[in-house]
Amino acid sequence: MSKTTENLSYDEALSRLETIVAQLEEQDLGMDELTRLVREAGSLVKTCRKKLKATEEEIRNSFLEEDQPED
Amino acid sequence: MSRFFWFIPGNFSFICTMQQAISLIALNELIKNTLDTTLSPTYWVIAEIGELREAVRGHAYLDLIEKSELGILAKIRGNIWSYTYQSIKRKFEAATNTRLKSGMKILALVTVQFHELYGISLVIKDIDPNFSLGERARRRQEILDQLKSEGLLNLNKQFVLPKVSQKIAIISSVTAAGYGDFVNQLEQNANGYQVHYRFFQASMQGKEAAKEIIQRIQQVEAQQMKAPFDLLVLIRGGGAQTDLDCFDDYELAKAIANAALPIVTGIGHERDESIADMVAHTRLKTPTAVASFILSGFQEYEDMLRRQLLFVERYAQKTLKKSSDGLLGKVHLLKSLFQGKISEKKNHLDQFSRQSHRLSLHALEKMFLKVDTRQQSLKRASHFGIQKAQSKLDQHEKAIQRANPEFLLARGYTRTEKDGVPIHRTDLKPGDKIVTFSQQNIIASEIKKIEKNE
Repeated sequence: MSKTTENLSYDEALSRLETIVAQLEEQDLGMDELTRLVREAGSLVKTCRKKLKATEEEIRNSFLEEDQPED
Repeated sequence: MSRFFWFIPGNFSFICTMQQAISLIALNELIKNTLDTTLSPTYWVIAEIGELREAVRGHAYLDLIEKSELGILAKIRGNIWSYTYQSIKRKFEAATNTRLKSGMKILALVTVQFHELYGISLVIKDIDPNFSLGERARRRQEILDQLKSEGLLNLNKQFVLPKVSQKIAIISSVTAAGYGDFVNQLEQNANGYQVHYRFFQASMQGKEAAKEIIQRIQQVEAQQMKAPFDLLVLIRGGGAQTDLDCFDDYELAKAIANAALPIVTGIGHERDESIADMVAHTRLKTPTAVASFILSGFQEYEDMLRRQLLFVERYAQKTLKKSSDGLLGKVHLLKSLFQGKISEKKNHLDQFSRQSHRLSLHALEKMFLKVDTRQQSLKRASHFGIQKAQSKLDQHEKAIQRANPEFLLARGYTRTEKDGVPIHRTDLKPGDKIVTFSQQNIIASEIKKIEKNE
């Protein structure tokens, strides 16, 4: 996973991912390019999953705080 | 022989009698002797004093007359020798409070005296005062009867005396001691009451007194139009207790009765009240008694004012207390009403507060529920969003997986490219150099022959 991928926002990462998927599906790419894009896409998927996970955790935590009674 | 001559106007002749003439002195002596022998030594005679004159040496000379309606019927000179006169005078005045004076009817013990030189006269030896008293009483009664018949006896009494007599007309004699006493008492009263008075001078005894007093009464009446007096006082005090007959005068009584203002007398004599006293509004014994009477009016009025003031004060206090009690009652009532109202409002407020609290709690609860619902929805939506995103990622991952050459190579498939382009995307001809990728190897080859795979 490259550093650049980590720094992207979820939407940027997803957008990039969708672009790569479209390229992969529609363009005739060479083996090297294909391999690079698959790796980047894999990284982007991981990033997105990680961000989703973090968001989910955050949502759960925030509802958890609401449910807890105040002192 | 006596001779008588008559003077006959006109013929100037004398008629003579044959009688022997005597001298005048002889005649007078004869008269004197005749009288002395014929008359009794003394007589009690009823007569009126015509004129009375006191001589320097103490003798009294008087005319005794008898009158009828037609005129004087009889008249004779009389005298009272000094010693006798003093005695008679003292006795008479003590009994009647009146001096011997002209116009008075008397019963006198007389001796007829004839003097050759001075002629006939009466020597008065004694005068019976009881006769004069009776005579005066009779005359008084006559006057009273007349006044009564004329309706004058109580006429002045019809006036209602002012409660406070502040303006006084005084008829008196300035020389009378009573006037001074009267004025002193008025002016130096202990309470400092102001009495306004005006003095009208008149003789208060003697022949002219009644006339002068009447004139003064008329003068006072004339003043009534301009500056009315409350009261007229007729005062005479001190001095001799004699010569008060002027106050029994009919004309004076009439003037008093008809006066335009109430008259108070203070004539200051000890004997029975005079007719002036009887017709006056109020009769008092002395001038000081009149002054006291006037001042007592002030005093009574002041006392009355004090009583009324006291009454007003008490009434005001009572009324104030009543009003105060009433107000207090109203205050209590209002307080009670207000407390009731306040309590009622407080209850309403409490009720409203409780209701508001309940409603607020209910609303809050509803809002909590709503928030909960929203939260659930949000949770669900978040979860759904994440799932959707994950699903999308899954799809993309699958697409990537599908495009991943390593996945195909691992299953035994190979990939062949011509000049970096997959061979199914390019035209091939024999002799082209191609590269084939397997999992383990990269194989470079040259096309020898191309046949269609059908």
